[in-house]
Amino acid sequence: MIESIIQACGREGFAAADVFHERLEKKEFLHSTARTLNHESSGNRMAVRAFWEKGDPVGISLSIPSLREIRQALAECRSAVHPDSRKNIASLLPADPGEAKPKIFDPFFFELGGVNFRELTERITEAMSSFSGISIRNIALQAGLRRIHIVNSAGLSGRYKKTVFTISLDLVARHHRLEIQESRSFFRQFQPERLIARASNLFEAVGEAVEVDREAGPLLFAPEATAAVIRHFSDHFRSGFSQLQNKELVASQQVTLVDQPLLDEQCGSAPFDDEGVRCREHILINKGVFLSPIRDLRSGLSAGGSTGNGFRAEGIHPVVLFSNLVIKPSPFAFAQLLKEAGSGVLVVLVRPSSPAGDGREYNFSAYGFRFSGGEVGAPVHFTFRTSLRSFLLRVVRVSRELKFFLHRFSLGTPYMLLDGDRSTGSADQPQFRIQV
Amino acid sequence: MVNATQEVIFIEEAELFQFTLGNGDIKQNLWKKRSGIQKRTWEEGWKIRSMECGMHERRGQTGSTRLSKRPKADDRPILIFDCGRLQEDHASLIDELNRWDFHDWRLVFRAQRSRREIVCGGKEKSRENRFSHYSLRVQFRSGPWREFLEIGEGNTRTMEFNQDALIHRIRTVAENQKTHPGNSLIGTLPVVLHAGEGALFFHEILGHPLEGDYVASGLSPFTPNDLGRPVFSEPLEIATGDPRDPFFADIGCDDEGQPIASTVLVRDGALQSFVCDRFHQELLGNPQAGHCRVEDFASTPQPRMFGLYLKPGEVGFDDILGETETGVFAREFRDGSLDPFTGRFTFCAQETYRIEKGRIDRPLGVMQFSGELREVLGEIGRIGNDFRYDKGISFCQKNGQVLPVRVGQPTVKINRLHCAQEPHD
Repeated sequence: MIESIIQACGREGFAAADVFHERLEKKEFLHSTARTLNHESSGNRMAVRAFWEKGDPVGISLSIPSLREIRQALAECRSAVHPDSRKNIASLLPADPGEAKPKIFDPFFFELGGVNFRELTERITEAMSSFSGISIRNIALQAGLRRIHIVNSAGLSGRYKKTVFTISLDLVARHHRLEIQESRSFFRQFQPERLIARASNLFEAVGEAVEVDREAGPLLFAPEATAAVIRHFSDHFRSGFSQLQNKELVASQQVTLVDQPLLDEQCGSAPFDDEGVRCREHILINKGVFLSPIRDLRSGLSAGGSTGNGFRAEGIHPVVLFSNLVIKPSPFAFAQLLKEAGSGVLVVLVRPSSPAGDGREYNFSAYGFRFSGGEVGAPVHFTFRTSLRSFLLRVVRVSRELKFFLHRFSLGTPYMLLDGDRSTGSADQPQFRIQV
Repeated sequence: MVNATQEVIFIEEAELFQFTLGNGDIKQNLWKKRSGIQKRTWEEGWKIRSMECGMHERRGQTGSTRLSKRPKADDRPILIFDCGRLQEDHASLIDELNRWDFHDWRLVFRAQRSRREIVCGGKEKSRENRFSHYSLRVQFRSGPWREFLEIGEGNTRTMEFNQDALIHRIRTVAENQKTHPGNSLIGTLPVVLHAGEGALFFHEILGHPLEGDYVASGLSPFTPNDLGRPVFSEPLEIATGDPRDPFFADIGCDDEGQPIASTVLVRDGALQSFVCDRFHQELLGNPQAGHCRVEDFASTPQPRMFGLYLKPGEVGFDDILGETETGVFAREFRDGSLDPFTGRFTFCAQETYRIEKGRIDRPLGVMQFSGELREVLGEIGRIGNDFRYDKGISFCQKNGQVLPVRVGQPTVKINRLHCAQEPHD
């Protein structure tokens, strides 16, 4: 059927075409104080891009592979969409998706049912009993299986399947509410006890924190806090958004930032992107020096070609997106970073707040714990202001412990030790500025 | 035991066309059609099965004898517009955007329509629910690090828009961003919300906390014990329906087949009702349901607002301004959020002015308002007599589902609100 669609595009006068067929199965389980819910859904999306010799493609998406409807839509689009003379990617569609096969499919998806969810809920509830004062409002488990098939007029035909499981907890404690989430490629990777311990840690930081406006010593960002800052500034690394110059010094030598699509058992991995381009590792920052942003076929037209980062999310046309964006870890353990720092603040939770300056800088709200002599102490809260470059240029050391977080894309971050300048501020201004 | 648990079968066919034009070589079109079914039943908890499929498969899948045996043919033309014609027809708008030194701008034309057939319970006939929406959004920003500002217009009838009005609004919003360092503002001040979109503020701080699922889960600052009690300092009236508003007029029912309720949420400043679907209506003992909404057949139903409207008062706009010695006037709005559990909210306006001695004074640009729900409800000062609807492009996101919504209000003054101006170049 998909091949028939490619032929139909040719008969309608298009020079090239690709078809992205995604079948999605989802299982959702929810347990809240008010209700329980079990939702199973199946989706079927067929996204067609038809290219003239020049100009932008026509984009069509249907629930079902109806050749009649696609032909009708192509005929309508042919009269409604007027190609111009701009160069397009019609001649650049890939012919070979490559041989890579990262391990991203968990067959347990088919067995997953209400029984497993109840067991998970019991484990979480039992783990909660060790932490007094925290109560659960909602527990949700989402499991998704995507089957991808891409075909194009250059002869490419590629398939793979992928699972992602996500636990979401809505918790309250000490008049605070926390929503935490964890996503994994394989169900067995979940460790509910560690999830609850993480929640407890965050509640302690948020619930008991004392405002500080003068602080001596460095900042040690936990992986989750690092991820919040990097994710906020991640557009700097995407073609079409990035203002960074190639070969620009943007970070300390300790920082190497890589997009890694072929990692086994990671949510962002894929053998090829949603345009059929083979996924491969792409180094964005090498020892502090920015090399180049990620690109899809279109943004790569004038800049060295696609890096295999054209992903479709919910749309027909791909956008430039990360697979697994990873700060390369070092051999140093977290304990060694604590020792090297001596004393300072371990930042565990960061929330973006508001733009600052001309927009390059941003204000963040941070919660953490004082530490000294290798011991973690009282919780603190402060606000800080930084730009991407300032943040990364101040990195003194990264750890070897890498943790992954999924929100739009997968991000792997270690602990990061920063040496920051301190400046006091007024009640409404950020209390601390990380600047170069 | 909740009885609102009859089987619901929901069938949908939806179509979307979008054409995006921008500087920097941006031009993109897409046409999308989706269809599918959803079946919801109660078996010691909600059990929902959704399937994306074609029309001929749907009825067989449901096993229902109450659905129309032959689906009514959709004789409307395919929803694809001539992109070249759209570009030509909006040449003056494009010229205006090019006149400014924006770093980026976009025009997003969008047309969507859906047809839904819903059966609730085994003995009822199916009901049909149709909705169409046409919109034009204009997005622009002055620098690469800036967030986009957006103005736009939408309606449920036609792909024609008031370009002169849009051009005027682009000019005023763009000029409004030209502030001087001396204009910087942070503090707690009176804020006057413009008629129309200003009601998005109440959609966020009042509408969401009153949604039945938040109330039932204990995540809302309101409980059933609050019904009948005053929540506002002023004798406000806020409802979820307005019989004069044509925006949702073609929707015959909500997404579980119940007539859309025009629920009075607040009367004379006292809380009257929550925003509920049938399940939460029975769970909470709420007077009405009629607020079950889903983004599409694959989504989980939730209690959601269709509209939120503040009844006008008796004070003129000039009088409200005139009695404000100093404050902020907010005209165009962006987005907002509320944590229903803590009651902490933020709300953003992208065109604001200083009020000095009862007059609109210098521009302040983008302003963020924040506060705590229970406190701000006690700070509603004046309600104007100049009711307006929003511009027809309001959308609301909840738990990953994005839905069109509608708001309307007169000019409203809030006596005290924390204001923080976003910095400028």
